[in-house]
Amino acid sequence: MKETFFRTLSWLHTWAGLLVCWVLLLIFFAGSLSYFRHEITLWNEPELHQGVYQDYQANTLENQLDKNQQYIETHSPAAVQRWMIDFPTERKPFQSVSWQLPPEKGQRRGKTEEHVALADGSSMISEVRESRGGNFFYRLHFDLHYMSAITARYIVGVCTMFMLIALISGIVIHKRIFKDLFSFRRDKGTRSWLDAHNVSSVIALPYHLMITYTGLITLMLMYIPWTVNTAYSGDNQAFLKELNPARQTEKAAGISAPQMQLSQLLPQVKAAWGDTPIKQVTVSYPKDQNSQVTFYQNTGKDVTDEANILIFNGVNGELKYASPHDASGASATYDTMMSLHTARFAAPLLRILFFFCGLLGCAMIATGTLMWAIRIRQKQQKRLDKGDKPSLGLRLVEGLNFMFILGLPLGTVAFFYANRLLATHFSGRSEWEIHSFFIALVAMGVWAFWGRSRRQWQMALILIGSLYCALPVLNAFTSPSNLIDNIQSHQWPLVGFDLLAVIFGCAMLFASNRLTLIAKSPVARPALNKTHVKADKTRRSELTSQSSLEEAKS
Amino acid sequence: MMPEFMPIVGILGLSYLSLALFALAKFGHFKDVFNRPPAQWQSYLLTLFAWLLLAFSLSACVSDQGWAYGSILFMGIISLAAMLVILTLSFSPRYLPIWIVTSSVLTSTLLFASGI
Amino acid sequence: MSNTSAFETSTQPSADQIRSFSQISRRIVQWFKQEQSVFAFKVFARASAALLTGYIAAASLACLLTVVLPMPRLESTLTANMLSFLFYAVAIIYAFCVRKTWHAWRDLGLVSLFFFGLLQICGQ
Repeated sequence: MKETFFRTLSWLHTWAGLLVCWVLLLIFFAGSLSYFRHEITLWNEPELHQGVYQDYQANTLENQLDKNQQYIETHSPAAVQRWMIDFPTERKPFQSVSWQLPPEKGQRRGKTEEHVALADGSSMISEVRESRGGNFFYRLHFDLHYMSAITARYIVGVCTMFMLIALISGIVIHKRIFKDLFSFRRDKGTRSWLDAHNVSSVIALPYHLMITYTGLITLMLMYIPWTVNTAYSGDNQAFLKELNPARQTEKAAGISAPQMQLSQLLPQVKAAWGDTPIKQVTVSYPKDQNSQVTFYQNTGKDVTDEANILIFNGVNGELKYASPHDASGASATYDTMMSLHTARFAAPLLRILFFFCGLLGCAMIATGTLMWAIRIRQKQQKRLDKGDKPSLGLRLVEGLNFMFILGLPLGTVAFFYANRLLATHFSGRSEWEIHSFFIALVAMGVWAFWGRSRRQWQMALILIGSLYCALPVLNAFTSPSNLIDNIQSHQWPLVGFDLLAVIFGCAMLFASNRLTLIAKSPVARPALNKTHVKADKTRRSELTSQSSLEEAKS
Repeated sequence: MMPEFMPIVGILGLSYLSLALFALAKFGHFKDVFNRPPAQWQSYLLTLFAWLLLAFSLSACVSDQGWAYGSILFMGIISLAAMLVILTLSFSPRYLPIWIVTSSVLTSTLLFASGI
Repeated sequence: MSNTSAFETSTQPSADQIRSFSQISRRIVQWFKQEQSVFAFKVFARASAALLTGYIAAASLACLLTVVLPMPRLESTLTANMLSFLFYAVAIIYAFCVRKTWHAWRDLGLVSLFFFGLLQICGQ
């Protein structure tokens, strides 16, 4: 399209990136946070911060099952569709029972109520504040919000496809990819931004390619559905049955039948699985003729998303289905790719590494778009010096940069503050936590409209940094156990949350400090443009411009 | 957690070592660290050792955590190690040899202690 | 300089009007011929070829593979579907890199028809 192949791909890289970078920033940011989805949900439920933690106990399974079944039978309403008993796992270290009510009009699935057991077995906590917690960020990164899930997934799919093109073209045009692998030249203006962009892309390149492609694969049956039509001559149900043989297609018979004791199934489970921990026991359509009991295995570090399950008839206890142990070829590949994307198998250390790579992805996108804004500003500098206004494109990009790069962290911290500061019980509470996320995002957009100069960036960074650093203080005042308590009682997810908040906050305050240095550096050229280094922790915040240090009005 | 920590920190040190050698093999970075350009044979030897250490790092990951989990963990550790090398080279290139020696000592201790 | 009197209803355009109309049409053609308009049009053509025809080509190749691959139908469906995004990426890059703009539409369109045709044949 342009004179050479190289220039064409360079153009394609720029535009494929620019058109969708802000949505991608949202997706990558929310996605990175979703690696810690259960931990965030736990932090968002301070009622569970004390006396709830317990480890999986293999020797008291029978007692626990009996106790829990009895609890459900006495406490749940009659017309429930599902009972769920969750055993402690590494990431959700508590015992809980839940039941699913039948769906109301317009809902696909009914609401789930969860009661969490105290570790000493004395009672159950039933009043936990309503909050989506980490699940909000998880859903946000592919279902977006304020729109139907299907629309959102198509939008995300288009953006992901653009991201894939940007990645491929980026690799091709980065001629010096091996020579410049470790180069990061600071204090060199646009060159430093380019190095930061290259570094954040290349050191996690396998991750970026993997997460983008597996993201597409996770929803591939929605994006290209005609393969199923072709192979199965339109019989989608047959395909779904082959893909997931355990899928239950029977509905409730409507005829009541006695529900058997779940603990009586334990010997069969032990015979099949040995000592492997059980993650969950589900009873579908309890007290019905068609009821089924499903045991879910805790697959731990297996790189798989397939549930390892045993399904029993709920009335007479005969085994109906056992997960096959070998899957080969395309189904195994499909399963592996999906599990690479969701990373459910990752233990804490690997999970932190995944999170780090996700943040590098955010840095890659942010440095890219900031670099573009700076280059365009430099190109227009002569005009601007004469007193012309910046072009619409430049204003738009700078404004969107300000809004998203600062608004996403602000929205997140607003979400957490709302979680603790809103009244604990009122209807629509979880929705209002989410509204505060978007209100903060829009507020940054409005701020961007009024001013996006270096001073504004600095003020915003100081504000957001302080809010993050104050999160552990907020936690101490609004939760029964503060950071010190959590360290003493080994509740590491909560400790990690507080520490990470402080690290984020300090990084932003540090970045705002660098902006002060830039503003104060002498006017003598060549400008001492210091560029902040930590590509993994901070948002790209300094605007370096070779010829102007004064505020640029909108 | 503590015992699980040790081999992974050791492998991180090993990867840091490997990637630092890769960086040193390059003209510009060698000059930044040692104030003189590398000779051809020095570059070659550094690259060779870097590859060997990288392979050793991968095999340590795999033997510690299994093939699937281990290779994924390896990729993550390499990314983190690369970031650390880049930061060292950018902020204090002269200190790179010191970091290399430190990480060798750290690595060997931890890996021996975990029995790899 | 009109020759019609004030009482005649003119059914033919006056010389003034003809002049201004031809001026306007010349201006419009000039605008179209402007470099940035031509470029914008080319970008639109390539982008639509890439996004639309590329998608059709990738999807038809995927459907063809489900029938052609020597595996059980579940496996071939999954494999074809997983590879389809790669095909789409290749098609998009091709649409932008091919020499002439209209070749993007031509080539991707022909490829789609070809795969679709093969699908009809092999699907029996």
